[in-house]
Amino acid sequence: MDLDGKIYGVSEKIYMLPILSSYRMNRKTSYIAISAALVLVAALALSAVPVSYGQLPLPAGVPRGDVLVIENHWGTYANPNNWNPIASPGVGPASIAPGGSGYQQLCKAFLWYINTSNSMLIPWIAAEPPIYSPDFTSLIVKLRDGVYWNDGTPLTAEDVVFTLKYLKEAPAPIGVNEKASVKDARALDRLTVLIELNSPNPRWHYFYAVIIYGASGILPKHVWQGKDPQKFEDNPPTCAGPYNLRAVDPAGNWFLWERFDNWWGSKVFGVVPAAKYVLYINHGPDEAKALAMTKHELDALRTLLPEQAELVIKNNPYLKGWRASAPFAWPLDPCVKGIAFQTKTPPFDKREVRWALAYAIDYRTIYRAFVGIDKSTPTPAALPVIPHAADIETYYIPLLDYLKQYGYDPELVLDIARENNAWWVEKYPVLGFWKQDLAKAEQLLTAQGFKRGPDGKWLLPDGTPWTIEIKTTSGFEMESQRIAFLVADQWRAFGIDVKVTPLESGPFSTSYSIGDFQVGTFWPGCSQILDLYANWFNRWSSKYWVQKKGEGGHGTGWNTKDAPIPELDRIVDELERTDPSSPRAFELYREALKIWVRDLPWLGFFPTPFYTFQDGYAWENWPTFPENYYMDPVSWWSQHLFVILKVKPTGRAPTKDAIMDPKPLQVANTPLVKIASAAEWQSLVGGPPPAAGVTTVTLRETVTQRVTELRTQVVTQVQTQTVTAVDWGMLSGVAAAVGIVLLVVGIAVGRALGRRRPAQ
Amino acid sequence: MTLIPRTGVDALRFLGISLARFSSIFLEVFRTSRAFRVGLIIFTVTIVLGVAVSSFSPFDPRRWYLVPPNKPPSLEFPLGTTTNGQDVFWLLTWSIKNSLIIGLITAMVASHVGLILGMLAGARGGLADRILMILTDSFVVIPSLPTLILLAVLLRDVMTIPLMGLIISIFSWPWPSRQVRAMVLSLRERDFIATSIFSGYGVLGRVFRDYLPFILPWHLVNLTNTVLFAISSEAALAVIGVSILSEATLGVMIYWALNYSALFRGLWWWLISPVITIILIFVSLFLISKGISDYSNPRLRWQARG
Amino acid sequence: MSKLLIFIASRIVAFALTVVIGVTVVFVIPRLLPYNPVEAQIGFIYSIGQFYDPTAIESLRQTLYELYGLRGNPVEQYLGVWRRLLTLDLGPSIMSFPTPVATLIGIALPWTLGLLTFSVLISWTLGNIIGTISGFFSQKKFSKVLTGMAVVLYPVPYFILALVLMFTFAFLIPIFPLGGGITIVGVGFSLDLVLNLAKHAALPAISIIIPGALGWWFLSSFTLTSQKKTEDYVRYAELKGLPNSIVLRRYLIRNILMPQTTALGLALGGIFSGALLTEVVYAYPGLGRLLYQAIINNDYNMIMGISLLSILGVSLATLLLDLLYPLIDPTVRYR
Repeated sequence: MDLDGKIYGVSEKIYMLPILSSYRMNRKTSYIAISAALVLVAALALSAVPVSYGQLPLPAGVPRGDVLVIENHWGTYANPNNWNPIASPGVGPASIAPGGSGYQQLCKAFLWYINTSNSMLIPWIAAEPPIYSPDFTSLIVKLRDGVYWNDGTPLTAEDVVFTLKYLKEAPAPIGVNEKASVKDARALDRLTVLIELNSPNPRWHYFYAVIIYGASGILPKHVWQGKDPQKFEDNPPTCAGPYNLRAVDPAGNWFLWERFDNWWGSKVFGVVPAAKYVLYINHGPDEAKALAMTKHELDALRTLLPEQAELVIKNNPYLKGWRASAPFAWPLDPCVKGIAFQTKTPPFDKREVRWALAYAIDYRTIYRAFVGIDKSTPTPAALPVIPHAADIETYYIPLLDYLKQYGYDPELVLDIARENNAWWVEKYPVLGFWKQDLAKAEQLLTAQGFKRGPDGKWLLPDGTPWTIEIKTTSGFEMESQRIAFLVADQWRAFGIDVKVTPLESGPFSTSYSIGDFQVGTFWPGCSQILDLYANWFNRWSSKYWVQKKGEGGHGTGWNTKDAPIPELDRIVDELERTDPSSPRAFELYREALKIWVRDLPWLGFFPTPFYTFQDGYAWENWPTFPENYYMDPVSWWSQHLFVILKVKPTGRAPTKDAIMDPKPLQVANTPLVKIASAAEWQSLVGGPPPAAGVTTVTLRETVTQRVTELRTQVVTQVQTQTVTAVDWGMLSGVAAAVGIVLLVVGIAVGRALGRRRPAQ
Repeated sequence: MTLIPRTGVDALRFLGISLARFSSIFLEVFRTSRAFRVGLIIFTVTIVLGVAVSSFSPFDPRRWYLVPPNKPPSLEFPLGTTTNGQDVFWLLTWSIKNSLIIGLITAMVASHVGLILGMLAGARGGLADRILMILTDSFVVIPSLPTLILLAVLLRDVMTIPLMGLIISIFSWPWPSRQVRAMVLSLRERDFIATSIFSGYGVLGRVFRDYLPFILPWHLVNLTNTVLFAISSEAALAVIGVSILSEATLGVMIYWALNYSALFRGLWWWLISPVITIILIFVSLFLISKGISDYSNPRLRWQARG
Repeated sequence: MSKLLIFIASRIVAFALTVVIGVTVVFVIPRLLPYNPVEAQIGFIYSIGQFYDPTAIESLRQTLYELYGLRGNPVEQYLGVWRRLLTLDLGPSIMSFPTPVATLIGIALPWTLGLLTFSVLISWTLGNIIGTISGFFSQKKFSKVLTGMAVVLYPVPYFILALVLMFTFAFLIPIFPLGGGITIVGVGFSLDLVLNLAKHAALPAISIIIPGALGWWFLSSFTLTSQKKTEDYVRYAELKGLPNSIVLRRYLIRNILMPQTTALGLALGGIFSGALLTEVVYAYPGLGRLLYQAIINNDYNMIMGISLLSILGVSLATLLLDLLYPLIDPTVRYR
């Protein structure tokens, strides 16, 4: 039995239905019916009474112009009160802490960000790039001076060391990376951490650098120490960002963050974000999001299918996307979408078969199907590398001649792209795809023993009909589903029976992980930055495939376990000992990409265009290409913080506490790593212990900081607690702990005193 | 016990009786009930569309980009075209066919399982009745939509149109079974059953000889309702995306239309066609069952609850 | 007296067996799926391109299998489920690990209960009133119009009705919010809070009430009335010259109320699995949404938890009705 419509319990419903008999009645009692109808109307009208529609969850009196409204793209959180960022592996909806709640954009303490548009490092809580020892077995992280948690506690080397050790010691699955890679970590001084690794790795810091999201953050030692890493909820979260959590939807759809005016970044960089509040909200299914965007109840959104985007484009004149005007779609999502082959399963284990299937594809049709009504076009990506300008120059152009040997046609979709004014046509007219070549496909298959049956359909070498199943997405990443149906159609036309199986995210990810598929619209080709190693490139090496059949791992990318490719293994080995920003690294990547093209373990088409709409009604200075392209317009990445720090009110919506003309953020972009010479390293690590006395200054600074916040006479109480550390060995830990404890006690006492005092 | 030969004879007798009764009911109802005639005509038209007309389609309408996309109805495309470049008219005829197959399979399987189990439980009583009723009740209490979703996900690799009908059957037999049992129980109190028992008829004998003729009209109504239940169940599964999305069914048509926001983009022909078809099928089956029930009403005191 | 006891005992045994069978089915089906939550999670980590140590992933996988209780043979797992259920422990949710299932159900339950109790009762009452009246006056024009509306409205796929309502009342005539459960900041019980809750529940409620009241409850009470009024006792009452209102109230409504109350009981019992499609369309944070999320994420424990609640709800309702029926309806005896 159910209320939801047609299914639950329809059984019993319909079985009771029939038997309408006719009976003659001529009494004048239809007034009953009329009054019933009135009741119905009244009920409907009554439920419509609260007509006021300030539909955004804001504190009373907050005008729309004070609030930046961003989509919570994960949807409803089952438990909106758990802010533990480590208990659940991955960044999925399992945990509220990352994802759509705003935590990773506004709150989490990251050491570095990576600027995806130029592959440079943005030191954040760290003062500079990590310094690696010459053999890459240790690294030094120097922290920025003057960083503190939003409760006033300084963020120091102790927090970093604590985080690493805490994660290392926590029960698995928490901290698997730290368990595997970190041998030891210790503070060299208040702001310097030495991390020793189990094995050489010039990219260790990628675990703690935001590439797009999912990077580990630093945990506040004074909050987490002694807490159960799995059960501790940290509610509300202890932040080190420009906002604090103000309110949470008990139903898990929205999260409201309020500006923290004493943020460390305001002191260090001198910037204060314009928006008084940032609201992350899930309006419901895509239709609802599209409607919200047309009503200016949503300022930034992840993406919509082109058809839903149409609704927004037609109804919102202030709309911006990746560009300030149409075409809007952002064509550089970090994953090349397309189809992947299960390279372990016959007949897809043969590169000739994979190539034949590639030649059977008519790329122009697929490309055209993704041209939006606003003339948005995808950026072709035949290599598993997102064609940012830098990537085109580093990979696509140098490899062009090699690609042409495989039938790469750089002009394949140039005309379509040109008539739609794609961003790359003028400067880089080299992006194309493998040209459809049915004769070649036929010949490759025939050479492998495939035959056509009497009905013209392909038979496998053993004579049985060839049926391909394409697994694809259902209910998420719908662009990939469209790719699946398009490809299926083309392969059918070529004479292969194709079945498309759409799967929800759970089953889809499982198939990918355990390799339970023949062909699927998976995307092993993600690359956020020029250093391709950052995204699973390591798994191209046979040494990292430890699973046996059925135990997982077969689907992810390129399984070379049973048939290692020695040259590829050598490349990965060498890369693990190479400075990731050195020219040698890029040479190695190009070599690896050549092998990839030869074997074609998957077939990427393009990063699917994302309609990352930004509403210019209430807010302006959004990042737009090309004139104001300071960041990718991607609201679900941690880097969106830099957008939030830049946008300013338009004045169209009423404001009260918004800052009308915020100071722009100036932040350095640095190389990805620093590598010390032997002598430099010696002086960094082996030198005499650092001089004493540094702590006092900063602690006092934060104390002042607190004073303005609490407005009580804590001042005197706390100032006496300033600690002078002499030796940062054993003593320093104890001293810092004592200092923090005293500080906390002091604050508590002060607060208690303050509370007793009558209002002033 | 001489139950078995007797049953064989009874089965034959039953066949004869029910065939005769079927045709007499049909003719009688057709003659007397306008609702029945109208319903039958609409239903026949849909069947003709689905079964006969669909086989004349000039191409496989499931294929994408064979016709220009997003065209409103015109002479060339009587019901317009979809965003995927499919001809809505031909797609609709194929969808009707497949949805009707799902409906008919469910009707054949579920209503007969329900009928037989219900009659056995009612006629035999005692322990068998208890066990059957517990089984029936268990299926009634399991939340059906979630379980159907799980099953559809589970069997997706091997899912076909007939299998879809079978899966939907799992939750379509318990309720009729309860109804039939209740009717048998009330029939059991009547005199002629006692006569049967005393003249030595076994359970099956009584079932075929005495109960069936009374339950048959109700069963016909139930058949038509089950067809509808199956079609709308498939549509609900499809809306969530767990039907066979590369096939053509009414539910899958709705899925794609919603997926491409046909409703908000003004491509009304794409969404309206399957919805109106479902309504038409419902209305025609409703009128048919109304006709039958009107006919049988005076004799069959139908209870809402078993 | 002992006859009554036997009756009650046998009903309770039947109830228990029903629950056992239901739980078993709900245990078996998800585990037959060729997918499991651990691999789904790993695959998810791969597909978003999070940077992981390649050897760490493997240890992650092994640990998750242990933690989610997916090691061990099916019999052990099955016994484990019963052991937990009997101690009222539903285990941790897998998709929101390590939060207990009970906590998450506790968060979602009030929303579903609030929304559905209200809309079921309203649609039952409305549907029965207009259904009975138009069944009684089935030759009148309004009756035919209502019947026609019901027959057309009833088969409209639910999702579409909900979307049309959303489009109309949240966009064209924006009197309701697009979705969600509540949008008010601040604590404390106040009129604003109630209004805010009501405003959000309105569209989901209407989209349950309309097809319920005008579709199902209308059609069933209409049908029942049409039948019952051909019964001899009703004709007798009419021939006696009693006014329509009395015939309707004394002779018909009571007889119709019986089966309809039963159906209402079952409908209320069924509340516990939530209103899946409505809650999905309107982002309403109830049990149906939670269950849907659990299904697509293969959260076995959550599926079991909510299904169990629903199974208990419906079978308890059945049990109660079975036990109470003879008290209400003199024509039914305990036997």
